Amino acid sequence: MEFKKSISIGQYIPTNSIVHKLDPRFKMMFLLTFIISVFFIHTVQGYLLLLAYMLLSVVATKISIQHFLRALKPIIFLLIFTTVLQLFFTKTGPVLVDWWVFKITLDGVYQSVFIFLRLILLVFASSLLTLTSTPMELTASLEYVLHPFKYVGLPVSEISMMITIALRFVPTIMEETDRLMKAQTARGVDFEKGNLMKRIANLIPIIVPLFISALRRADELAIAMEARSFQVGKPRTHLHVLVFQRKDYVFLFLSLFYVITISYFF
Amino acid sequence: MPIQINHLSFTYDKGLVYEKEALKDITMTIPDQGIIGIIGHSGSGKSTLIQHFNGLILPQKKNTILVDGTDLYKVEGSLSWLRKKVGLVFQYPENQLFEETIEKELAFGPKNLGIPEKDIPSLIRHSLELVGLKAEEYLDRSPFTLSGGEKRKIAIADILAMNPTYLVLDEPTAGLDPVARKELLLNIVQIQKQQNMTVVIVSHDMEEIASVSEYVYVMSESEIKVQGPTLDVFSQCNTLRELQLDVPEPIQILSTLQKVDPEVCIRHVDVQGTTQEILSFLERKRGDHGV
Ligand SMILES: Nc1ncnc2c1ncn2[C@@H]1O[C@H](COP(=O)(O)OP(=O)(O)OP(=O)(O)O)[C@@H](O)[C@H]1O
Ligand SMILES: [Mg+2]
Repeated sequence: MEFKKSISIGQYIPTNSIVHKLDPRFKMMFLLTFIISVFFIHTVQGYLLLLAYMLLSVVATKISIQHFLRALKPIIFLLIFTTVLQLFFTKTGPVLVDWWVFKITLDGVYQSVFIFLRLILLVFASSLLTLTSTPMELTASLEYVLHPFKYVGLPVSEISMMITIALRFVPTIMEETDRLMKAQTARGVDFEKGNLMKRIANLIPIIVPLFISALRRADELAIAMEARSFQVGKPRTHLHVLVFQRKDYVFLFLSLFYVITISYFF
Repeated sequence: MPIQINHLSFTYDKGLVYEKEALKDITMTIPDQGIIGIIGHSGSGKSTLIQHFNGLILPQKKNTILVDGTDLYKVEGSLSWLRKKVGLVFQYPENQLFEETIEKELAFGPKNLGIPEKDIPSLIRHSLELVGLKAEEYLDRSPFTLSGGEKRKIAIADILAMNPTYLVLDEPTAGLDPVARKELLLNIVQIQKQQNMTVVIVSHDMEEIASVSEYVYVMSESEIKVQGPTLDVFSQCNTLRELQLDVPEPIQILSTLQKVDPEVCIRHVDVQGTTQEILSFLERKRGDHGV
């Protein structure tokens, strides 16, 4: 029944590896390049090289591969579905199997292997970022990456402040949901039984108190922020200023070089 | 029949890096009458323990929890009977209110338990009476228009409306002002007498526990460290201090006096009894000097 365990947010796993110590902005920019390159590459060798790079990075994080695999869970259906689709519905290239209504071509095999590797690489790459950077680091780097849009009127600091606050309250709200579920179970609600309508009705005793406390909390937070002179639109300084270090440049250069070369030649 | 807990242990987030052993080898009996206190510092495992009483957390071993003779390890299917038997009032229960009117709020529990519609109105009225609120005045009001203390009472009435055999209250007076506190405690004692039920009160305030309960379990670091009749337990000042509990001032005073005069009896926590004890101590002293 524990609601908290069924959702994982803020997946940060501290292991003190070199990847953790890299500047999160570097990791974010690298992630972008990596995603783009994944779509450029169209040969098996290219994918193998990217995969090798990815495995090396995963090992470098010192995080158990299980955590990366867990991230695949929500897309496992999509993964199987698209792979199978590519396999059976690609009609070009030499035919390998032709049996009953099934017709598998060499191109189809390639395509489905590509799409399979592509999805896995994408998930691993994003996990690489979220498993090794704290939510705070992530919002700080988002603010940095979005920085140029300030000049076209996008309220970048405010957006990142909102994300920070939202992230800050996710665990609190989940804890509260857990508590409320228990409290209402003690009042005889059975969350695991009943038809769809009954189950939806069962959510009311959770959602109403949750909203009430969220609104109250928002109010309190607004007052607390104003008491500390927070004003929308005013520039703010940061407690932890991100500074690129030599190792960040080295890694950024090497990784970008590797990935871009692969996507160019393969 | 009682609630019997035998060698119960429980760990949160078992197998993860941040797993937390919240209960270690707990053995206790909740008899089927009277008021039992469970006391312990913050994080000692009190709330975790009582969530085992009504099956919110189910045991992982045989024969660790028996409620009226039924082993909770073996239960299957709906636990409604258990939720009805053991009424659990959570910490800050007023946060769970959600209905438009108090009447609907109070009917929520009984309806969930499948109690016939026609019996519900009388249950509701009775439970409001038990917490000392007038039905005519409150039934049609929204729970959100009440004061904090009143909301708390409604939340307790919510559970009483399910007519439980055991009433378990997790820090029922937390966050109330001293007057509302006293009133609520008196109220709980009355409810116990009227319904002839078992009440379990969880608290970290010894004075509070001393004023209502006859028997007390002291928890610390996920274990039961001391247990016994309340005043016997509370006279062990040093042990209690080691367990990070605030010893009530009357008991501190009396136990200091006892060192001078073994005749001083630590049997009181209220002002009157303590004064009496100090007066008779002074009397004896004067007698000594007079000789
Ligand atoms: N849902 C949970 N998940 C993980 N750990 C928990 C959970 N609930 C409680 N704990 C941990 O278990 C331990 C015991 O908690 P519990 O709530 O039982 O203490 P308590 O005695 O009721 O404290 P308090 O007086 O503050 O209410 C604490 O260390 C707490 O951090
Ligand atoms: Mg507690």
